[in-house]
Amino acid sequence: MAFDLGSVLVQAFSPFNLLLALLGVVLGTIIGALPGLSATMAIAVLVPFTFAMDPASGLIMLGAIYTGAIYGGAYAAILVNTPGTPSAIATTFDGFPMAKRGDGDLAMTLATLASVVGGVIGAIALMTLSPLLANIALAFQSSEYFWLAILGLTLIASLSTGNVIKGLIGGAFGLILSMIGVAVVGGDVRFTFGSSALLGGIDIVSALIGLYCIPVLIDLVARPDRHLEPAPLGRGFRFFEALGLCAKNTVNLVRSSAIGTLIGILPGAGGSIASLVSYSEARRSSRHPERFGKGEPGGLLATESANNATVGGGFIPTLVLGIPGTPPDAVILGALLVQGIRTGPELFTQQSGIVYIFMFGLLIATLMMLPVGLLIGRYAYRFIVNTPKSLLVPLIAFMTVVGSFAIHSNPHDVVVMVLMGVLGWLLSLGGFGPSPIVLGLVLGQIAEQGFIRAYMIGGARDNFGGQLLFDRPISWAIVALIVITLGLPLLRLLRARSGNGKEAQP
Amino acid sequence: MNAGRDIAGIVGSVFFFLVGAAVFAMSFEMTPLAAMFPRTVGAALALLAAFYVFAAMRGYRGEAVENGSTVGDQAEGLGRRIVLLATMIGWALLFPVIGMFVTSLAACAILMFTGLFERLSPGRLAIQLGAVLALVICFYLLMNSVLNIPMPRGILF
Repeated sequence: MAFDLGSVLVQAFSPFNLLLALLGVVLGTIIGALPGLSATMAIAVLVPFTFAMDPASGLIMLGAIYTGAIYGGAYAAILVNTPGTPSAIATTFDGFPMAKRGDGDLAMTLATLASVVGGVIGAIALMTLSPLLANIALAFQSSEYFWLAILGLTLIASLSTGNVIKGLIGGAFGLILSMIGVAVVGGDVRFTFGSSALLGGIDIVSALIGLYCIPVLIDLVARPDRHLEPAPLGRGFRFFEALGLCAKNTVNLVRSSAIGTLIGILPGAGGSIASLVSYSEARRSSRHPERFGKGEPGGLLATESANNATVGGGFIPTLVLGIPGTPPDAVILGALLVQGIRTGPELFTQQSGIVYIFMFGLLIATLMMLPVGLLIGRYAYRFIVNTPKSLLVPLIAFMTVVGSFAIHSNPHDVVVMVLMGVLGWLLSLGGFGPSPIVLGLVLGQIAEQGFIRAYMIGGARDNFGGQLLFDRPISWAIVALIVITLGLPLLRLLRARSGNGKEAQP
Repeated sequence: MNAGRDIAGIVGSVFFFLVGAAVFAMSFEMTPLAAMFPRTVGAALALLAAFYVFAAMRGYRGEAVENGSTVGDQAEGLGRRIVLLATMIGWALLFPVIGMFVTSLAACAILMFTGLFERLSPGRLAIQLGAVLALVICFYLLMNSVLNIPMPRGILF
C-alpha cells in the first residue's frame, strides 16, 4: 500500500501534533539537560500518556522527547563539563573550554544549530534510505562489533588526553570495570568480592555522573573564582556569528552528520562512537588541529551534529529490522507494538502512512529544536553563570544524587557514583582522564560479546583467526582505522623530534 | 631531571599495573569462556602500565588536553575539598537509612556553606538557605510525584 504524501503532511502538521512536538522537545530538552535523567526515562514515563492519543500523535510526541533529550545532553556537557549521556562525551572537549572563557552563549547556539543540522540529515536518511542502510547493520557481525569497540577505545585514547598510553590504560581499566558482575558469556560471577550489590555490575550512567561531576564539584569549592566567565551584555544569541561559523564548517557538519547516521545504525555502539569518530575526523581535516580540545567551534559542531544524527540512524534498524539500537529506541519500539504497528521489512509497504507521519514528526521536532534550544540554552547559560557557587554546588550535588538514584531506584548506584567520582578525581591527578574509562565501561560488554562469539563461531569452524579478522573485509577496514589512529600520534611525535633535532643542529 | 618526571602518572600507573595483574591472576579461577576477556585485558593493562612507568622514568610525559586537575592545583582549598567528599560519602550512605529529604537538606546546607567564599548578611544568608530548601523540595517533588520515582523515606523522612 503506497502512502499518500498529502494526507501524511496534513496529519503531521496538524496544530495538535505541532503542539505535541513542541511540548515533547521542551520536556526532552529539560530532562536531557539534567545529569542522570535520560531520554529513556523521559520516554518511559510519558509512554502511558500516549496510549490514550491516536497513534500518530503519540509517536510524534515520543520522537520529539527523544530528539530533545539527546540535544539537552549538550547543556550539562558545555556548562558543567558533565556529559548527560556517553554520546555527549566529546562535547565536553571543546564546549566546556568555550563556556569557561566566556563564549558559553556562542557554544550553546552552535550546539543548537549543529544538533538541528544533524537531526535533519538523520531524519531525511531515515525517510529515504532506511531499507538500504538497514543492510549495513546486518553486515556487522560479532567480530566487527569487537573491532568497533576497540576502535572507539583507541579513538578516545588518542583524543581525550593527548597521551595515548594513558588513554589506553584508562580504556583498559574501563573494560575491567565492565566485567564486574555476572559474565555476559559463561555466567561466571566476576570481581564482586562477595557483594550481592555488585552482581548487576556497575551502572554506566552512575559511573559517568560520578567520574565527571564529582571532580567538577571538587574544583568548584576549591577556588573563589567564577565557574564560567560571563558573556558581555548585549551579545544576544550570537546567532549570525554562529551561522557564519557553521557556513565555514559546512563540510564538517555534513560529514559528521553522515558519520552519525551511518554509525548510529549499529545497535548498542552507535551514539558514543559516532561522535568520537566525527570529532576525530574534524580534527584530522582541520587546518588548526592544535586548537581542538581548547574551545574550537569545529569540534563542538562535529560532535553535536553527529550525536543528533544518530537519532534518525538508530531508528533505521528499529523500524526496518525490529532491532532497537538504543534503550530509548527499545521503549519506542514497545510503544509502536502497543499501537498495533508491526516493525519489519513489510512496515514500509503495509503501514507506511503511520510510519511516515512518525518520520515527519521527527523532522518537525528537530526543526523546533532551533527556537526552543536557542531560548532555553540562553537562559540555562545565564542561570549557570549568575548562580553563586554556594547555590551551584548543592544544586549539582543534589542532581548527581537523585539522578544516579533514579536510574534503578537503588541506593547502591549512588554509592557507586560517589566512589567512582573519588576514584576519577584521584586518577585525574595522575593525568588519567575520565572519558576513556567511561567509554571502556560502555563498550566493554559489546567488545566481550563480540570477541567470545567470534571465538565460539571460529572454534566451531576451526578457523578463529578467519572469523575474527582474516575472512572479514569490514573487520580489516576497522583494524586499519585502529592502526592509523594509534600510528598517527606516534608519527607526529617522531616528526616533531626529528624537526627539533634538525633545528638543534648547527 | 626529577622535576620533569610525571610522578603522579607513575603512581597511577603502578595502581593500574596492580589492578591488571590482579585481574590476570583472578581469571585463572574462572571457566575458560568467562576468563578469556579478563585475562587478555588484565595482561594488556599491566603491560601498558609497566610501559608507561618505564617511559616516564626515562623522562617521557604526555600533554594533558582534557580538563583535569593537577597535583599542584589540589593544594588550594584542600579543607573544602575534604568537606565536600565527606559530605557526599555520608549522604550516599545515610539517605536510605535516615530518608532522602532530611539527608538531602542537611547535605545541601553543608555544601552551601562549603561553596560560600564571602561574608553574607543575615538577610542574604536566610535567602540562600531558603533557596536551598526550595531546591530540595522541588527536586523531591519532581522525582516523587511527577516522575513517580519513590524516594527512600528512612527513619525520619
